[in-house]
Amino acid sequence: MISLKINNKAQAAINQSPLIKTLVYLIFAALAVVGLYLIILSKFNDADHWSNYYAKEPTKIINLAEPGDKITLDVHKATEVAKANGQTSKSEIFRFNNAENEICVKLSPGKATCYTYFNDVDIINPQLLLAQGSQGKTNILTFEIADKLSKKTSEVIP
Amino acid sequence: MIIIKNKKAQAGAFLQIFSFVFFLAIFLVPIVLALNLHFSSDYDFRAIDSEILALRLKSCFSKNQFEFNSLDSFENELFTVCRLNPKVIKEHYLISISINDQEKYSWRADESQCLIGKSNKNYPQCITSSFKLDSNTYQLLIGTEQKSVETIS
Repeated sequence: MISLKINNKAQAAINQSPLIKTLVYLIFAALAVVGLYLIILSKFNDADHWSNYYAKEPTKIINLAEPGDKITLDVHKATEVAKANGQTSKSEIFRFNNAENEICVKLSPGKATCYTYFNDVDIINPQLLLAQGSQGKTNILTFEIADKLSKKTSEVIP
Repeated sequence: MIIIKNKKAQAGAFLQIFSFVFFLAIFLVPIVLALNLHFSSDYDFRAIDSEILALRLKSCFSKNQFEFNSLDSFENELFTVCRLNPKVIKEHYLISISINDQEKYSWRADESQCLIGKSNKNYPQCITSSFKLDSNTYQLLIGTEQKSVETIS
């Protein structure tokens, strides 16, 4: 004789404690939200994106500049991203390569983004000044435009 | 006596988790993909770069007189007087200068590349500029495909 005994214990256990079931769903939802938050956070601190931006934007001004011009740029976001990514060397964040007419931005260790400008000038005296911008709260980059006199290798921020 | 344990009830309760995770993924995957697409897209600087070069050339032509006798001498004069770096220009830009519908100077100027460049970032995005100087109409076609270069340092 075959007797079928239905085991309803498992179902009963779940039905008895809907809290456990809800908790499982909540844990999955929480994991998803935390994951999304971390992804968004990493994107806002995206060194690739910001180094690309800061390599290109200054060339707008450099390409339209005349020798003798002194340029000041707000680079606060770049310095924030560099600091967050462990790029602490001030002299390496912005580098001007006069021989190649190139500006290189390094916001994370090991990788720099470079962009060339067509204005045939030299960039001299680059300085990254901390807390010197508006109301002494922002970091700024200053440099001067000079006639192309020599084939220097690069101008490094002191 | 054979006892068959029915575990279907237990399984059914937990199977709902999969559908929950599936719907969660349907919501989250597009958000993550959109974020990646937005932030990882290269900052397209080609049109701005071309505009700036056109502006420089326009300003240069309005301040200086050029002889269009020989192509080489004009090119040298253009690069020197307008303070343009020949290496950068020849590597990354295309230029066409016409006066009164007659092409006077051309470097890599190919309008078909400009057409492709509208939808493909690997090709130059071009702009045209037209202006009058001393009763002559200057027409410029300027384009660039320059991208930022990542170097390991």
